[in-house]
Amino acid sequence: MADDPQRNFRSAYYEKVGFRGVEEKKSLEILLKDNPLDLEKLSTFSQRFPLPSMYRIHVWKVLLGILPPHSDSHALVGGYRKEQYQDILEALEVMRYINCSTPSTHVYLRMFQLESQVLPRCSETLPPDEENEDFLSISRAMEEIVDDPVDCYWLIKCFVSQFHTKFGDSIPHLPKSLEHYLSQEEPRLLNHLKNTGALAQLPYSLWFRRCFAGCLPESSLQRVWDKVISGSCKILVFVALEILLSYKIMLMGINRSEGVVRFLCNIPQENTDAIVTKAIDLWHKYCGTPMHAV
Amino acid sequence: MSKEQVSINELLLSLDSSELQEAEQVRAAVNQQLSTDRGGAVLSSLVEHYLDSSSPQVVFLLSSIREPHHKTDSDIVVLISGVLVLITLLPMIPQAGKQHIYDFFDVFGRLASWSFRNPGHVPVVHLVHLHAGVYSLFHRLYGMFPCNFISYLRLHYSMKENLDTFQEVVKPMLEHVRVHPELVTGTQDYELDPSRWRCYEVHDIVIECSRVSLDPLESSCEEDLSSSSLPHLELTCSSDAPSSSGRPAHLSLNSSHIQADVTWSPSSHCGLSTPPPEPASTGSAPLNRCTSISGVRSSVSIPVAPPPDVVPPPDSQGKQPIRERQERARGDVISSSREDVQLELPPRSSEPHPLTSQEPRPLTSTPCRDDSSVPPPPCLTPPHTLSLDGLSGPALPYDQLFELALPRAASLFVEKKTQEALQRAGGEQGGGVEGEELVSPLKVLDQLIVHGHDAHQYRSRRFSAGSKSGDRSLSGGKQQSMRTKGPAQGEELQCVRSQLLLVHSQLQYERFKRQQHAIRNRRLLRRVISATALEEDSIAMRELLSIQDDEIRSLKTSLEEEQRRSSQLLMDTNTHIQQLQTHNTHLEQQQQEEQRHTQRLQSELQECQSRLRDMEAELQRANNKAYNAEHQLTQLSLKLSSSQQLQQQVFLQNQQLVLLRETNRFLTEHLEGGETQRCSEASMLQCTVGKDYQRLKDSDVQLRQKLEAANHRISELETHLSKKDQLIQEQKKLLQDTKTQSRAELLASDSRCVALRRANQTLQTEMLHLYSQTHLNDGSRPDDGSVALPVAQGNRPRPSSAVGILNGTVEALSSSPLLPSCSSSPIDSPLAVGSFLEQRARQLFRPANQRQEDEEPTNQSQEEEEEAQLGNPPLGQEVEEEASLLAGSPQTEPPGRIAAPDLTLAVRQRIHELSIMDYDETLPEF
Repeated sequence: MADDPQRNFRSAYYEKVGFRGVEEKKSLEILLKDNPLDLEKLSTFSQRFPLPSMYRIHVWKVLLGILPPHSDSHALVGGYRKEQYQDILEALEVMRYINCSTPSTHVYLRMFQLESQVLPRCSETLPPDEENEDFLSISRAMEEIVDDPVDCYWLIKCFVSQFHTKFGDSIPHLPKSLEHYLSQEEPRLLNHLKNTGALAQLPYSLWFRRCFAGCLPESSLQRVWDKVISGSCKILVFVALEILLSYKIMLMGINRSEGVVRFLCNIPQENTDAIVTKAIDLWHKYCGTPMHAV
Repeated sequence: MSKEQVSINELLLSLDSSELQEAEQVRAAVNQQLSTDRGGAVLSSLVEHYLDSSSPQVVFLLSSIREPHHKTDSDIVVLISGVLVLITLLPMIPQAGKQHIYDFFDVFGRLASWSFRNPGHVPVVHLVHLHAGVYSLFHRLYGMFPCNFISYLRLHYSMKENLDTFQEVVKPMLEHVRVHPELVTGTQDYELDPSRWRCYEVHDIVIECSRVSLDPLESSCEEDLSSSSLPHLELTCSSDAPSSSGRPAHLSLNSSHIQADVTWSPSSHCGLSTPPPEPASTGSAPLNRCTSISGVRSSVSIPVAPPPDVVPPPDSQGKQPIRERQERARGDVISSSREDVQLELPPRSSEPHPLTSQEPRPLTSTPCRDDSSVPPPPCLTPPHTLSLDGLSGPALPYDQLFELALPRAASLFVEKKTQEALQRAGGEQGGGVEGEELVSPLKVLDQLIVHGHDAHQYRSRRFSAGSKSGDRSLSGGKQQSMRTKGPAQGEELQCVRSQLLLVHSQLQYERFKRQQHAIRNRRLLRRVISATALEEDSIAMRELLSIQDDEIRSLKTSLEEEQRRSSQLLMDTNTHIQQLQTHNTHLEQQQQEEQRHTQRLQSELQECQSRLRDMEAELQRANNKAYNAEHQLTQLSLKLSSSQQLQQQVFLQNQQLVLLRETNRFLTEHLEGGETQRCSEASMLQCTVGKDYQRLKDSDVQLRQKLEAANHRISELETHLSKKDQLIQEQKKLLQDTKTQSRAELLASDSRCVALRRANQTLQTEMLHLYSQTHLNDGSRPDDGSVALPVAQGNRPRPSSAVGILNGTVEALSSSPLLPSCSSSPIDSPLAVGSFLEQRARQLFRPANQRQEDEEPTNQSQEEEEEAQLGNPPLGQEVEEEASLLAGSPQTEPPGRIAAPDLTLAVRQRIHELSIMDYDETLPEF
């Protein structure tokens, strides 16, 4: 790749002098030109670099299997997806599960329930349980990121499915992992959290089941999800760790576990970008940068 | 008065209060009191307050005092101390002259006339003081502002009424000054210019003033020593010693002088009515007076001075007693007190006692210097040696320092000074004798005081001897005064007191002068020290110079020596060079001859060589000729031998020819018979052979060409093959690609199908639900099928994909009125799962007429579907798994997975059974 004449000869030096992301868009474009698309390379790229926002949705769709690797069949498959979406939507409308005034996230939830055959009877609709709440908050976040409802539904559905399939087993271990890294980075804070009893009550479901949906603003969130979609759930631990480290002083000042949980559930939205950047750096530091790429 | 004072004191205390208004009020009150003040009490209390508190407010008040408080006191003591203060201040404030000079001159004029006319009738003793003060003021004014002063004098004393004053007072003073140089060079304006005094210090001005004075008491010897150079000193000595009169002459002159003095002395006017003050009562005063009296210059006049003092004034009133007293005193002193005095004052060895003047040793300062062996500094006026016992403080140190600092210069100087002093001792005595026509008022004052002291001592001793009274000083004075002036005792006491004050102020004045001189002396000493240091430095330099001169001289001689040696060496070299040159020329000539000889020989050699070459060439040529000849000779011999051989051969060949001709003829004859037959056969054979050969050659060429073509073809085919392989590979890849692509697409469509099916199922469920509701509502059918059906539908396991595809049919069937009866049939529950069996069952249990129409198309498609499904179970499995993954609900998975194989098994078994039962129809494909 270094001797590709099309590429800028300066590209080898950008990283050295601290410019990041100059060549990433170009490399991604080169990756996207391949036919069929190399999913492995794409996911490695996504793990190493932040995705350019103009390609983000496309890459997500490819990585989540919404679009096949062959770009020739994208149109066809896209059509299938759309028709499927409309079929289900119509079915739901016919069954009067939804109407015009139903919020789109609930529409998505119903559709998802229908597809997974857990749709409750119209008459016996229950208040949404924990799992449904997770789905709803993820779909709320996704709705902010994606404009097209078809894409949005498919991304939500595939994201949730993939997350549960891939990381369903490792999610229960993430709190332990967080504790481990916190003990390495800031043992005092860990002790404080342990002493106040807040460690067990940290908002783990918000962090690890909803993937920070509703916790971070979407601009920061999509950079976290880049990593999740490309196959790493460890990043969630580091984002949580970085949140703890960033608000260390405030957390040290709160002595009641409820206060800690309340604060962490509603962290300030100002410098979340910096938190995510630091978290990614930390993640790279502990888990190493994924190597064979680009 | 006292009340007023108290009030003013209170006022003054509140003057410094911090409140401005109050201070202002107090100030106004004080001013008012001042304006009403008559006796000056307020003023004096003001002054006292200022001295106590040094408050700025009081200063302000004092400085704002106006005319009425300027005192016009006629008290002689105040006057004299004022004059002395003025004299003291003048050199300190020379710039003030500009504004006040005419005031100063007025003061002088007034005092002069006052001292002459004596309007206040003050005692004569005081007048002496006053006179001395005026005299000093005269000197000061003349010294500082000569032009202005002279013009003033001219103006003031040109008036008739002042003429006598001038004659009596001013003129004698004028005789004591020399012409001031400023009178020649300066102007009145220039004198008043403050910048003139800028580079002067107080003592400079004092010395400047004393320089123009001729009075030895007032003037300074310093003008001669100012630059402290020794030649000047010598000059001074020589000028100071014009004559050398003996002591007898001096004494005689003394007596003559006495008479001359009587005529003009101020005391002659008023007489010596009172005895001089007691020195013992004032402590240091007499001593101080003594020192100032015994100043360097005054020593000469001392022996002469007493007479004017003692001389009885014309005033008849106090004349007789004083004269008696003086005479007595004199006699006493001479007769009895000489040794006493001497004994009494041993440390003051040089104290000029008027009555010791008759001693062989003169009591001038000069011999004293000899005695004390401490060399006096060159430029000293009064206080140095003689003040040792009285005021030794400031004067002592630098004498010794001088010696310490400059031992050599000091010793030299001491020598010189001693000589000069000795000379001057004689000279000044003479000079003093000469200058006695005019007696300085200062001298008069000195004499007055000294005489008073002596008299007092004598008197007091006598008194103490007589009355044995312990109180010597006071009672002595009293006794004295009582004896002389019994009735006027208080008055006299007053007079004595004021005299004491006068003497005290005089003392202050002299102290001031002494301080100025001390300052000056210190400066001059410093200058001397530096000058001596410089001198020593220059001497050292000079020695260094001489040493260097010597060095230069020795260097010069050595240089000359070196030059001589070098010239000799040069000469030697020259002669040697000449010798060598001659030798050289000789050798050159020889060399030239040799060269010529060699050339000649060489030319000869060349000639010989050329000759030799010629000879060689000739030899060569001869040799050539010889070789040629030899060669020709051998050739000829060869030719000869060959010709001989040829002749032999010719002979032989002729013989052969003959022989051959014979044989030829014989052979031709022999051949002519069977020649033709053999010739045709051979030619035919040859022809065939040639043709055969040609043919073979052609075929060979042909074969070779074919081989080449075949080879070419082979290679072509090989490349073709490889291309084909590649193509196949590509095709395979493409196929793979397309396969994955289509699989992906298929997956998508599959997932869509699944989704659709789910939707359909849900819809069906919904519908069934609704149906059940409508049935319930109708209540027409009481059987349990309607209840069981939704349950069966709800709990139905995952159907195979075929069901989804055939949904339309199923729907149609289920909507038919037959369905309830079918579902209630015994085979209902197992068949409900598989669509194939269901349909088969329906077909079986259908009425026959209906069966034929419906069955054919459905069955056909049914079969195909079934086959497809059975043929492609892995795909179905995959799809199943994918769907389950997407669904993500694990609890629904196990029944589906378990159901699928069960289902196929059951279906097959069922099909098998049914096919056995299906006897009235041909079996399907399997």
